[in-house]
Amino acid sequence: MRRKLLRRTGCAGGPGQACMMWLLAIQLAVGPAQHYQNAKRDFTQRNFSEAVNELDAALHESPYMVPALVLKARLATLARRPDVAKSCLVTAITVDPASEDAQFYLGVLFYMQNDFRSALSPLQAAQTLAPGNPLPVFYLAMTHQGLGDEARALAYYQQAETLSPQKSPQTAEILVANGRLLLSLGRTEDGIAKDRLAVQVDPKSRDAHYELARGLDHEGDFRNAALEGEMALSLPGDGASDAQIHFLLAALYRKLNEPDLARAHLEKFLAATKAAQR
Amino acid sequence: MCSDTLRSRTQSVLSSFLSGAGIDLPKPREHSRAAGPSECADSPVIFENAIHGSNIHFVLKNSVSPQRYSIETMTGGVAVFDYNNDGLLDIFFTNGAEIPSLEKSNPGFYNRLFRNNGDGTFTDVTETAGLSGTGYSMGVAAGDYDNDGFVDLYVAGFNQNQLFHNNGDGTFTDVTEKAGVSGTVRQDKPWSVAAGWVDYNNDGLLDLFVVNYLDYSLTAAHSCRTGNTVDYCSPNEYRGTPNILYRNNGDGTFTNVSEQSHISRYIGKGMGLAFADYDGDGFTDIFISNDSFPNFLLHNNGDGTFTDVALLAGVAYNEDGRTVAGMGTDFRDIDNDGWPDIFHTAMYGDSFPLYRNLGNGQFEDVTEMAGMAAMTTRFTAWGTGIFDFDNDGNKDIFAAGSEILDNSMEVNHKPYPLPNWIYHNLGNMRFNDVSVQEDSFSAPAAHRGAAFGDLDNDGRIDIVVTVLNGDPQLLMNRSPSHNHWIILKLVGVVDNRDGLGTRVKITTANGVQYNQATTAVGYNSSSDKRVYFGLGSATVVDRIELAWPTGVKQILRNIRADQILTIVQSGGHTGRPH
Repeated sequence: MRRKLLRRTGCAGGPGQACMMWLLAIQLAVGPAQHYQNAKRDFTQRNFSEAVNELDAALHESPYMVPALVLKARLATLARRPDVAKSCLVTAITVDPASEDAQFYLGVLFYMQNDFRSALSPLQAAQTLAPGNPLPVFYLAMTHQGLGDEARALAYYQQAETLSPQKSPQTAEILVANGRLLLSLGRTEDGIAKDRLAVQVDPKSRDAHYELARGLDHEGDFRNAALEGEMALSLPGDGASDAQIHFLLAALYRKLNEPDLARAHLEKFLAATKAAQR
Repeated sequence: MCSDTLRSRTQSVLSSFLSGAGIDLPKPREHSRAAGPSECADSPVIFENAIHGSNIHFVLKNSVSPQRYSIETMTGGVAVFDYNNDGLLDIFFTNGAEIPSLEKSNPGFYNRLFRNNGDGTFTDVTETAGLSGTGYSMGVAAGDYDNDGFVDLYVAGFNQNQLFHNNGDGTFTDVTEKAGVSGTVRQDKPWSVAAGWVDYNNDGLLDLFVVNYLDYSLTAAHSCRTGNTVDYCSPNEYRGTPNILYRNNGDGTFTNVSEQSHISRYIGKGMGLAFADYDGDGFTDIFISNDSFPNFLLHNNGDGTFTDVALLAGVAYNEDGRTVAGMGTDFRDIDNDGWPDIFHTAMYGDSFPLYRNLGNGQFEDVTEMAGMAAMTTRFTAWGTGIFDFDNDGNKDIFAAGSEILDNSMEVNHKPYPLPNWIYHNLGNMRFNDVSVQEDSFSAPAAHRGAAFGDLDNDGRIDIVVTVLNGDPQLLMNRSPSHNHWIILKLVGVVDNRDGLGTRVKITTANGVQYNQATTAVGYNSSSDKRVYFGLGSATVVDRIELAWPTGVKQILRNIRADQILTIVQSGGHTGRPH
């Protein structure tokens, strides 16, 4: 950024006295708020290193700027520096305990580290600060699931589902997670119901179709399970992998006594698995 | 030892940090699924840890090093077997060694044999027996390989495998070199974790299968870190090694037939070993749970060769098409339909897979449907066994919990010591966690191997569990049920003396049950060779049908319950003394 400004001001070859004056003036004009805005823009465009530079500039001038601290924490997490992320978020919460974002991302950070007990408090704070936001509730559901409290997890999933917009990928994600927990508890019918709803809410959700296929497989409806599996395979998405779906389809076609299709999917499963290993 | 499931889940959740950057919301694909409190608080399965007062003084020492060599977290075998034929099960523990010398440099590293005195106490007879061992030991397998009526021991280890012949007078002789079972392959000694005795060619002689793990040496090992913390490396850091099959020549020697049997074609990262004839063709098959690598189901072709059919049979991967960190395993008929099923323990995030044998050469992953996923996904376990602990006629499942990394709290916020678990079979292919009971059973510890057998001959199956750097657990079954039982001690005549591989079907007023004779159970360990049945309310077994490995069939009728019945093989004669 600074280099760009220097170029714009014609100072790229080396700042002389006049240029130094210009630079000082520009810096004063940009200010931490502008740096933060620039960082947000860079982050959205996935220009992460530029975003980091802008945030560093913002925090250099305004070390306790909470939105900048939160964004820096998010970037640090992506860069696999949870220590930096935690430090930023703790600072942000110290400055402004009412920062919903800071509380939420601290909770998510703990959750990612399997530190479920520590995750509860900030997630609950985030929920209290923004009772209409489904995300803290969703993470509370997953956190309680991690703690082995499935009853609470199911209650939170339901609450997150209620809070989520009627038809959105986010709602589908919540339903899929809920359905998966229900399946793991052996509540196949309830799981399938959630997965069907997820497919309705977001027909392009690869995960929703995949989970529905799994549920239908458990129920013995292999034909429809295979249809859902094929649908999942045709959709983009970074949830269920191609390998997983091919594996499921191979099993389903074997049960449907269609050995050629079963073999074909098994071969694709093996190829996808090998590709992933490479 | 370590799977990548945690990382997968973490990566998916990373998307939440990217929201606003054109990335979707989190996708909790690999969520830890967890069990709630026990649904069966009035559990009929009760164990008491009777180690104190038993005179068993043994600490499993693994020599934790700053480098965190992988072998340190892997030892802990135990065998229950009757070495002196007094009708009481004795206990043998494997032990580690000094690192890096890998020598049992002081008695604290000796393997240990404890003789069962029959009164709840044991006597350490290690040195008299000559079983202190050498090297860094891991697993153990008990079996009478020379059919002399005295059970012998094979000890698998990192740098040394040893075969101890039971002389019948309370002593053992190391016959490893003479027998040709040192576990070396082309001058190299791979890391052996487990072993088992099986008559794979139905010639009446027990053959030896050795499970090898990673291509690993202390000199070439590198350190692995999470952040600044040194921890045990994932198995993905190292190549696997082929397993070994030794054919018993019947003269005290063995021939390594790994190549001609095709065993050496299948290179995995073996942990658990179990035997059963899964397709009823009369030849014993082999299941190996691999660590973060597809499992092997080695189909015995009946001509001296094996073929890995795990992928097509549906037991190589879990339901999601993923490898799991396979640990201990057992291979028995859980639903009494006549077809042996497979269970193995794994690492947190995996669930402990339960594969139901459909009887057509195929298995179905029923982990979720059986309720096992919800009860096990949060946990890691090692030793395991499928036994009917309350004698109600349905086999239950035991799992010995512990995380892998001794610094796992620091590394991933997971407590290292974990409890033991009992999953009670409800009879409809559903299980309940009934583990919550008195403290000495469910107290968290660094559990490893587990061996099963009725140590006090009261008809209830007891468990011995090893604990890294701690006292073992002597879990005496004190379940108050009034259910009946029968224990069958098989004596082979044409077949191997222990009767290993014999399939047993019993019929009572309550229905039909199946089991088989095997000592290869769980992780690193060896269980009682006798065949156990819980009979529920039945006081008589109407019919006992035995299918011995060589093909001899034998039927007994109207047998009273609540006894240990010795069955000498009929239909053949070799002149061997019983």
